[in-house]
Amino acid sequence: MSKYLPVRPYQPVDEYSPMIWENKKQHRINHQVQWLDDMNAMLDALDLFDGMTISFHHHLRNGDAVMNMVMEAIAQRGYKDLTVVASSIFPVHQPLVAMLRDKTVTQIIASYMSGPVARAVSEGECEAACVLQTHGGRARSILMEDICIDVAFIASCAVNHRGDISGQHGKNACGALGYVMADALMAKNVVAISDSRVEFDAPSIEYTCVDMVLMVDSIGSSSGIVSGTTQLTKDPAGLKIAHLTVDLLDALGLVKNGLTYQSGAGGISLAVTTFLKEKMKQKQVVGEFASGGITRALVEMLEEGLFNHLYDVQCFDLDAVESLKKNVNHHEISASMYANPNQLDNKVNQLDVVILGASEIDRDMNVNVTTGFDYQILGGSGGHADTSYGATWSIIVSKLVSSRIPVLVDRVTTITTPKDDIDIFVCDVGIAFAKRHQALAATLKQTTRLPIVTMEELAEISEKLCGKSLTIEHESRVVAVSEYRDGSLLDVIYQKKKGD
Amino acid sequence: MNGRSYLFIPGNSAGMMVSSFVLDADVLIYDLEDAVSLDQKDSARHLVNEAVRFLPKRSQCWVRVNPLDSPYFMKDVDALIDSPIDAFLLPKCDDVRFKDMYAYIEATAKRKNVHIKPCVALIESATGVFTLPKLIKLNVSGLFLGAEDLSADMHMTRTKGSDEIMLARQQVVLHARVKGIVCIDTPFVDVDDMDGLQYDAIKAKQFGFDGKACIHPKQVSQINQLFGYSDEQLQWAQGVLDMAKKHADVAVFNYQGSMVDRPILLRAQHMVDLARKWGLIHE
Amino acid sequence: MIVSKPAVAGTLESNDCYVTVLPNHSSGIQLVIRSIVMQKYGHLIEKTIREVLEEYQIEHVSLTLEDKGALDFTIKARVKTALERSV
Repeated sequence: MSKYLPVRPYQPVDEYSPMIWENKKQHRINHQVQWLDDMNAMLDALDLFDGMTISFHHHLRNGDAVMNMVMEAIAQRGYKDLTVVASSIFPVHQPLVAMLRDKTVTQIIASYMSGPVARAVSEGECEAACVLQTHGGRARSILMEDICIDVAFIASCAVNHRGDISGQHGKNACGALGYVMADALMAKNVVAISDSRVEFDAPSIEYTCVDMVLMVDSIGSSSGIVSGTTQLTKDPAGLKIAHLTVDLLDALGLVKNGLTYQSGAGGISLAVTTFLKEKMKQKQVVGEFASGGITRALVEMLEEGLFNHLYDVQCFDLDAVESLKKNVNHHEISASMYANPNQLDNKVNQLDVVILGASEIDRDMNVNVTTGFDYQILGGSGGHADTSYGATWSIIVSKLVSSRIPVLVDRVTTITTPKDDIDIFVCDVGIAFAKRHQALAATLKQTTRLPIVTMEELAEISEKLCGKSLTIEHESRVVAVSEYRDGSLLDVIYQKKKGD
Repeated sequence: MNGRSYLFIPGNSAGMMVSSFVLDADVLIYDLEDAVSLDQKDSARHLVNEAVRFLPKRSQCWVRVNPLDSPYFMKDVDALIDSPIDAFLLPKCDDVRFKDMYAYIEATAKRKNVHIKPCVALIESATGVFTLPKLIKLNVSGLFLGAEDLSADMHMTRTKGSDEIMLARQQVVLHARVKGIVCIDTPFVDVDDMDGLQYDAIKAKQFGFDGKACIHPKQVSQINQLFGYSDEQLQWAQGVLDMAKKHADVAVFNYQGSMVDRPILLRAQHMVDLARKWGLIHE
Repeated sequence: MIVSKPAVAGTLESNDCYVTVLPNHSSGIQLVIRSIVMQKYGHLIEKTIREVLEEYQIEHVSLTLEDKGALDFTIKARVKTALERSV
């Protein structure tokens, strides 16, 4: 069975064409969902085969139990050569490692990979090259049928009598189910796996998309959604970066009424959001919306009237889950509405600014959030490349050096987001602008007290501090590829060299 | 020598050393004394010594050495006398102790054939305050008030209102002005109370202090702002200097309704020079 | 200088390193280096250690360094401290 692989090389695109797509399941209004309470009965009812493509979502993050329980049952039946399209992989998914080794699973397609599975992939244990997509790119590839899903297994916080799915109700409510909507609309078979049968209106996913419902004791633990994200940084250098970033936003005229904003979930990004809140209060401005992964900090801003709306594709903590349920201006959106490049009214295109982290950045401002310097996969784009493209200003925040690991390198180990989409780098030593913004940089240097520097100056300081690094070796095998949001190939990821 | 903020960095913390040069304090004080336990005095001395010779220098760097009567003072001085630091901060000074410490530092500099470093006296004892008139007759380059140890020595109760240290503050400022050297106020020790810091720093500035100590990086930007110059003040100073160029031939002229004579002119120049150093003015 | 007794210096905190020095009467310079950035800077870490050993004229020592991303100045400082404690 040939595996999905992007091959068309990346080219910067000014404008994307609109997606032409039809909801083929919406007419199934008289459709009856099949109810099951036994995993084996469910698998018997499905038409499983070697080499099929199955999908899962990660809205329960490290508290997910559904992927493991389904994969174990499928593996026990001896199926092989499966492609797992999981929106993200976390440490809890460790049992997948054995399935890579015995070729039950021969490809993983994900937007983010961490933990033992990421380690196994980097060490070459997956037979076919894995694909790391963006959140928006995943939705696009599923809706446009570049990837065809045979069965989507949907961890469903709650199902009602019709078989609608909700993320906001149930024993393990986890909030927005943005990443799984494309799967529900397009997969040949959709199985909702739930531990709570409850009545509710306003479903995340309608019964017309659902073929079967399997009731289980537990789909996992919603408290696990808090894992895998960080707390506000306490590091003085990190706090300095956050303050500088907000001063920069002010100097760029972005602390204004109607601001549209998104930030990553790293420690410094969270601090930026906190300080931005103070600044917005001071200037008495009201933003139009904040989007993306929603945290308590953003919920507080909504409730204090600092943003008119929150567009939520994923809840990062239980306060966000609660807010989605009760605040009428906190909206659940699909990954496509969030970031599909061919959905022209997507939210990322409306962003004024996005604040993001980086594992590595080069002098041209290509950014890596996929691998460490040792070729270990430690994440993936998530929404990084999507928001960078869409936002008027994409700002990378990071310390220049952490524990002798410089963020500024000659060439990034993996390109996750291309230089065309990155505007500014704010680190503890200063603020550098992309080459196309040199005139603005010069003006700000003249008219403000912001420490404007060049990437070359930062590189020099970084090398003085750390010394000149050896080139890290890697094996020749390509274990994964970095796919751009439009399905083109951005970069390849090599197998780690064996070692400690 | 002039700074607004003076940030203490614990001398044995590698992590803090590495961040210290980005922290925007005008003066970094690498501390070998109270921040370092007795069993790590040697370790801290080496770490500070290597750090000051390696890290990019974006602020002034001082080192607080151990007291004269400790087994560490002389080794501290021996190690750092030929380093790029800008001053020694000498703890627990009174006139006699400062004299002895300075003598050793001077002799060490001579022995190693280097310039002597400026020495700032930490006034943190009753005798320290009492002997200020004699202290300023010596080669002291600055007076630094340490109210925590001072209040213990004086049997005072230390409060946020700081009434109890009013005399000490006034004495330190008075003697610094007579000598023509900088005076630095004691740190505000409740790092979570930013309003308290504001109140205390405003008071210190009112009393005439040139700057204030910080014991946590989060205090630095507030201190820099309070002890710096506002945009209005800088505009005034620049205006005076521009006007002075026009009236180069007269000793006194009128600016914005006030008389400007030489002392005021010098003050304006001093403000602009400092502002430039602190990055408040662009060219 | 002769290393005559065991000594340690430094910590395992980020940006620091932990150095253990043991006497080894005639086996020359035995170095064991473990670092979170071994692949990038292991060569510089080793160079720094050897430079200090040469400065202190040490011919026989068993030195273990556990590095958590210390810059060269920290490595130098911790090695010097351990050596002076081992006299």
